[in-house]
Amino acid sequence: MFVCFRLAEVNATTAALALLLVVLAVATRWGLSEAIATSIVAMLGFNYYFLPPVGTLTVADPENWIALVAFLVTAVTASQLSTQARRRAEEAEAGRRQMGKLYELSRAMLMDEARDALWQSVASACQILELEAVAFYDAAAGRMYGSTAASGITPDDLSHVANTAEAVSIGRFSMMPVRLGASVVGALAASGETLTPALLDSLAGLLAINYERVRALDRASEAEAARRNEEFKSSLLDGLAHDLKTPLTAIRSCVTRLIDIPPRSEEVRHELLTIVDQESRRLEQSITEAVELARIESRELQLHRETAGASDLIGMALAQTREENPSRFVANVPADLQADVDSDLIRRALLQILENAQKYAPPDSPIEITAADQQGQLVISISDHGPGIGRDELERVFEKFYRGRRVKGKTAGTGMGLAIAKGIIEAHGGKIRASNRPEGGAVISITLPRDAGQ
Amino acid sequence: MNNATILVVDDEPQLRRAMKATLADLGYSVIEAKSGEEALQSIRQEAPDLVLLDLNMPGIGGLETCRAIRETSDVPIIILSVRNAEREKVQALDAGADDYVTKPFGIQELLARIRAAIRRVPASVESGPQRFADGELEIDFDARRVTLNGRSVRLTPKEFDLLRFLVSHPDKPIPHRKLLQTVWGPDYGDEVEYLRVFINQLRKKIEPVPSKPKYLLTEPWVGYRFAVPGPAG
Repeated sequence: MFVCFRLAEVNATTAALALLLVVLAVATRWGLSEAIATSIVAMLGFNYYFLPPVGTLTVADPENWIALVAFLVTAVTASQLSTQARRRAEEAEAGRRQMGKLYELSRAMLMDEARDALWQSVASACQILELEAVAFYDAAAGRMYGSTAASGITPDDLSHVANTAEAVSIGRFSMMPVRLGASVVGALAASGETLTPALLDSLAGLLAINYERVRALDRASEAEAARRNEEFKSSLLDGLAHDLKTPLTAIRSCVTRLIDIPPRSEEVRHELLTIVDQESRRLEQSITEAVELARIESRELQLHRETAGASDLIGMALAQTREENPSRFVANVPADLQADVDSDLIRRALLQILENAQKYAPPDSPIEITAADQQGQLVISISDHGPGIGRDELERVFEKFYRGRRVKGKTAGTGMGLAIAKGIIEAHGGKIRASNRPEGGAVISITLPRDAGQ
Repeated sequence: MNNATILVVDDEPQLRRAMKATLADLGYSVIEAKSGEEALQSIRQEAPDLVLLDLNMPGIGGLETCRAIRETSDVPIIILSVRNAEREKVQALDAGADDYVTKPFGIQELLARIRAAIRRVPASVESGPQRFADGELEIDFDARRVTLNGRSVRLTPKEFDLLRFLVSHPDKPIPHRKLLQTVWGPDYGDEVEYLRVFINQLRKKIEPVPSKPKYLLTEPWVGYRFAVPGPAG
């Protein structure tokens, strides 16, 4: 560069100004030390090539010193200014990133509707804000929710922070009270390299809002539970009324007929008495079911396991359905499929599921039964062509006395059937699941370990 | 002795069987349907004289079935249901049922209801005119035909009997009990809600402005009255 200047016959002033620009550029781009180094090189070059005596490094003239000082001052001032600007930009960028993370965190917290939302919120805080550990203490419940690395924090420390409502630092943890409005609802502890007082403050604010939200959700779910309980009771009464009154209706009409208008024909008399006999048995069965459900619920169920063929289990259950049109049952069951189960109980569970399908699907519509081995598990699926089950009801259909919205008021049932089936299947260590077929209709699938030792 | 055909609609096979066993040798022929859809078909094909209809059925439920029957048929319908709430009864009557029997029932009660539903008010009870006409509403009692502003109106047999009895005593308040016993039968008398529903349905059918009745007037605490509009009207 100096050679270029020399060759281009640039005069000393122009060269000095150009060098000054170079120093300025280096100071802005890199920093103080680089700028000072550049200043010195520039000064030396300037001295050597431009200042008389040219070609030596002699500082003959005070002008030379002025040039050097000018280079240095420019270097220092410019680099400081640019460093400052750069730092501010970095700070702004960090702030923006933090805002972004806080926003992400608040979204993560608010989207979480689960029961363990408070656990989730400390875990998300830790992860999203890249903190080492976060713990939140719920003062009302006296409970601490800590992220995995929060083992150094004790509930007592946080309880103290909540009580005194003063921020403290214990070891590497910064702790501060969490306020909701004027009241302290708990305390927060956090540690990590990225932690700043402002971040801790924002986190406390977010946790307070989330805490309140979770409490509101809890209250809402309590109300929902109470409402469901009411629904249970009314469908229990509905179902019981139907299950008990249907056989009673048959019995009473036949018996009053026998008493009030005695039939002359022996045949009619016999038919009436037969109905009374059958229906009183059915009444007994309804009552037995209710008792059975109560027993399953109180976990008094004793399993008598034996090796049973899937086709036998399904065949026996099918034979017991009160179906006038047995050809609607389409079974596809491999003959050699076996499982160690209490056949009597499994047959009853299957019967409940089949009767359920019978009740809710249109009369005579096919009901398909398939059985298969899936990784050592016996999977039996029963599919119907009924109205299907609402997506929000897929879990609830197994609740005691719950009856589907699409069928309620239209169909008889105590809502005990699937609850009984579930109790029996779970007692076997199996699973029961409801789903819908893509083309419509409900599927109830049970999965049973084939080998009891599993 | 009766020769009436009764259609029993119930998804419970044992109940259909019990109805058949209790009614068949009393002179009724009993036919069965296990769903609302089947019932509608059976009514079209076999024209029963009475329908015993269960409320609680899969597919189209009892109420829907009742409404669907009423769209095409005036056959008397008795609802059989385990529910005993007033609201349910009114709903069923509103849907076009003639009567409502709570399960379980004794055979005598059911037989009384069946007789009441099938029975027509005998001609001797009527002392009124054979015809009523005031320009808007026209009733031909012999042909059992009613027209409002020239448009033919369909009444169920019970509605028609109720209207006929009221019209044959023009401008005279008829007590609830008297109406029930005449139109439904001697076993009735306390079913005031039946009258309320049937009068409402009649008003919807024959009143030019059903919310402001001019023919079928309520006599508070007493009963109902058929008002003959003045000649100036």
